[in-house]
Amino acid sequence: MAFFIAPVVYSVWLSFHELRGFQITPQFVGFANYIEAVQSAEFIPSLYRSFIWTGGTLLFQVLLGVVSALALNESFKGRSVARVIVLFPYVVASVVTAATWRWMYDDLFGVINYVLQTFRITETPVRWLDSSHAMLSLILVGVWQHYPFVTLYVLARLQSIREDLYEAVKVDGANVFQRFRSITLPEIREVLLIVILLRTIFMFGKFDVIWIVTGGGPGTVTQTWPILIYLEGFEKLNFALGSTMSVLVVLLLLALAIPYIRSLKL
Amino acid sequence: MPDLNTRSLVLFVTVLFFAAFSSFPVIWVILSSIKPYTEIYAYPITVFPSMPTLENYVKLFTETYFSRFLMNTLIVSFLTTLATAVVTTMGGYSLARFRYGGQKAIIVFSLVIYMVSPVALIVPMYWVIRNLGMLNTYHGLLLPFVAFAVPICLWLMKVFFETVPIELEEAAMVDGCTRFEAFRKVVLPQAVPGIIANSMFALIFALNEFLLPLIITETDTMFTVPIGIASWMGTYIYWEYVLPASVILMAVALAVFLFIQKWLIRGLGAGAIKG
Repeated sequence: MAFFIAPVVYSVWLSFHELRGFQITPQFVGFANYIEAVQSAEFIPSLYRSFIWTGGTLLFQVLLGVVSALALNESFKGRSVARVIVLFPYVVASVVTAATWRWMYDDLFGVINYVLQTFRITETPVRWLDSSHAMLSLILVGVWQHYPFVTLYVLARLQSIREDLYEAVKVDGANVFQRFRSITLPEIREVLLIVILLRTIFMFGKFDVIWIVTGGGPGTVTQTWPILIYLEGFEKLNFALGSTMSVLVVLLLLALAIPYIRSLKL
Repeated sequence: MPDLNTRSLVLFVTVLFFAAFSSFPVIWVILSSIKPYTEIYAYPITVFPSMPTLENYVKLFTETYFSRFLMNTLIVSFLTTLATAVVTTMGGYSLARFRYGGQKAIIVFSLVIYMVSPVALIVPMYWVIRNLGMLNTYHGLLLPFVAFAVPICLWLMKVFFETVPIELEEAAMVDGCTRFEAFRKVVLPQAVPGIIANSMFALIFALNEFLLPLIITETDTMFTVPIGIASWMGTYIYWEYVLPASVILMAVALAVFLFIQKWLIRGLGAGAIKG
């Protein structure tokens, strides 16, 4: 009996997720909400920003993640300690991560500016969180926080690659790069594709870090889609519109994700 | 072909780079948190505290509701972990062992929930909790927390149970145990590492969660630590509270993380990834 309780309870939990916004609005307005959402001045730009944010963080997460995994795959003294250190950012609360980087990015009290100025790389404090830099600064935070996710998965996969594959190719005289291309890359390809999918999904909907570091600003410079929905729903109290936008984005994501998953032939 | 020494050097530099990159912000926050108030706001800033002090930590507990935040966070996290562990252990086991229709659907559906991003779900969730009158309560937090934690944990437990050989249970049942007894006596003891790892995962999630409590809590006596930290970061930021609070939260997460990190890499390599 216990075995049937678990899925049932689970379904009950799941059903909480199935409410659609426009079932709650008192008036039935049909597609008016959808039209309004698409035409609203901020919806499309926020999607655009989300794509930039997602693309930017993803690129470096994967790069750093793969390189660090390769490095941590080698045996050396203190490897376990190094692994813990490298992976730690992922378990730090988003709020703390955001607060920390906000603290480091500060014009006056931030350590980043301090270092830059002490080493005379820049003369005046750099305003990391102003309109021109905010998105880049945010991307760095996102990368810092999540690259260990990539590291973890890739490393796990690397650990299970058979040594003799490398031996065989070494006998044939392959150098480091050739070994990487012909053995390592194909072996981790599957993991990478899954990781990329997961990270894209998670990054696209990331709210907390962006909210705390910039709040979507200055102005709307870093207002990605989740920020917009939050503002619509909870500050303007326009729940219906917020839900509508959510539905739209979900459909968009599904439209993108399903072909991708199919092509992975899992 | 680069010789051994060049290779070691490259490796060393690389590892050093990543270790430094990952740890620098953490170290910086810790350093900043033990500076006296005047030094935190000194310009130009100092790197090392001239007189390391715990005064910020003391002020955190005496001047703010932090102890309340901490208590809330611990209570909710603990209960979430407990509930999630129970549900996902049983659910994961049944998913791994039984074939029933809709099994694939459950798995796909749970992944889709994650795809949909918490922000999209937050609006309907708010209305549900509100209509149930559970806003700003512990159970109001518990429900969504568990709802969000279960999908991933279920997946983890299912994969884990798939690596537990079925022969042991079959042997036990041949000896006359019922299914449930077999589960309890044979499988569970074996599953302890997986259950612990899974629970820690849920615990970290509950500790760090921000968006859910942001929506559900309304009065500051119900805030969790993440929300509390955010509450000190308005137009004016109370760094003297934010910094020590961050360190405390990180310390808790670190403790949990150290506990499970052994299993993480091994566990992921074993069954979770096909290939």
